[in-house]
Amino acid sequence: MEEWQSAKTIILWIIIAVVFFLLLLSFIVLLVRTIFKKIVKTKLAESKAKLEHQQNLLEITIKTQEKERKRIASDLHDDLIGKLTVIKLQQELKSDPNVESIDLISESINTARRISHDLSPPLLEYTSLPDLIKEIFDPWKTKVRIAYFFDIRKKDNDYSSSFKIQLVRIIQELITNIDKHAKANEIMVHFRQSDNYTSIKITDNGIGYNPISQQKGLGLKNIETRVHYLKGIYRTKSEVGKGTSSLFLFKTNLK
Amino acid sequence: MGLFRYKITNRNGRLFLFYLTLSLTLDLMSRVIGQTTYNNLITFNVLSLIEILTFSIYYFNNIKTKRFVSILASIGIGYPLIEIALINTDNVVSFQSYSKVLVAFLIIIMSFYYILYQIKREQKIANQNLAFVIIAYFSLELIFLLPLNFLINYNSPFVLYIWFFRLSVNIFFYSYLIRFIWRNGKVQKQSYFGL
Repeated sequence: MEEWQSAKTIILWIIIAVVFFLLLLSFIVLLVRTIFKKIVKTKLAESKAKLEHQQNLLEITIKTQEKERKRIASDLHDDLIGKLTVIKLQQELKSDPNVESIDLISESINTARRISHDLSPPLLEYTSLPDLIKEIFDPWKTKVRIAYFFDIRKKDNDYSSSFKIQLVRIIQELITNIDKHAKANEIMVHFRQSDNYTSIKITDNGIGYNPISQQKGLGLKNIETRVHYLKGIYRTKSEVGKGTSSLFLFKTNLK
Repeated sequence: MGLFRYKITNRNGRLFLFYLTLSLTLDLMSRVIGQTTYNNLITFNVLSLIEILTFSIYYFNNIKTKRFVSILASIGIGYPLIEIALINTDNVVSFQSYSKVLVAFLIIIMSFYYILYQIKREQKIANQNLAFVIIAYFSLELIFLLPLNFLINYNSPFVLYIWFFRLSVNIFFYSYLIRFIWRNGKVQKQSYFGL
């Protein structure tokens, strides 16, 4: 009898063939899995690089913006205010001073100083956050009632100037929104500073808006960009007729 | 083609050139042995040795973790040698060699390992098509030559079709290797400006 006619040989051949096909199948599965994993890994790396690039762009944009603001504020303060002061002095030293002109010049100096301070708050490094917040809100006290709630659990003032200036911009943007759209007569500011987190919640009793149907304006987009830059969290809650509340949360130690 | 471009062919190209030359020599020798002794079955084992040596060297050169390839190569070289020593090629009725099957299986494993290794570590699989052609060719070889005793002894036109199909697969594989050698030479021959 020839070898191939033996049952033992045929069974062996079948076993080898089956094992081989199973191996081939396993390899195909493994190959597909590995390729998918590789694709996912590559995509992840790509999105990470893209995100990093966006973050860098954002950082550069914000830094450039701040630098430019500082330059304009400095020009206003040192150049324009200086010249206006000289004009005012000249007017005052005249034998027949024009009081109306002097008043107008004084008003212009004050406006220029306010714009300059808005553009670049003075002594930012040495001012604590609660004081800075009060400084931003105080000029609005003539229009709305402002209530502060400060919960300071961490006494050190180790926030970076960059953090402070971004928070100032966020608050300024929010106040502008409240003034322009909310028609509120009361603002509540909750500020909490702990070892790990810093949070600020600004609530108004204005007309509110529908966050779903209403599109985000440039102001809100700017706020989001700055929160993103500070790697913080931003939540806003609003209902028509029930006011708006905005909450910001950041990690405390940013220096 | 390989001899013509020998100087500008890279290491892999030269290896396949030796493989094709040895295979051709073995083919001619098997005809001479067949004519003189009326039994050239031993050439299956010799061809297995040539194949395992060639593809072990190829993967040894192209995979950084050489231990795995070395183990497979040792098994692949050892088994045909044992079969050459023990098997009785004179008895055609009971002749059943598994050298080609085992060697094909080991080369397929090496190719799998190479592909997975390249996917995991590199951005692109080098000589990707060649690796898949090797897998396809040796898978068919494994399946064709598993029932070797049946193919030698069974007298039917069906068996002839199988041999003919195997011949076509061989021609395709050898043509692919010739193309590979030619392309390797072509790639390396660059102009003065590197174009």
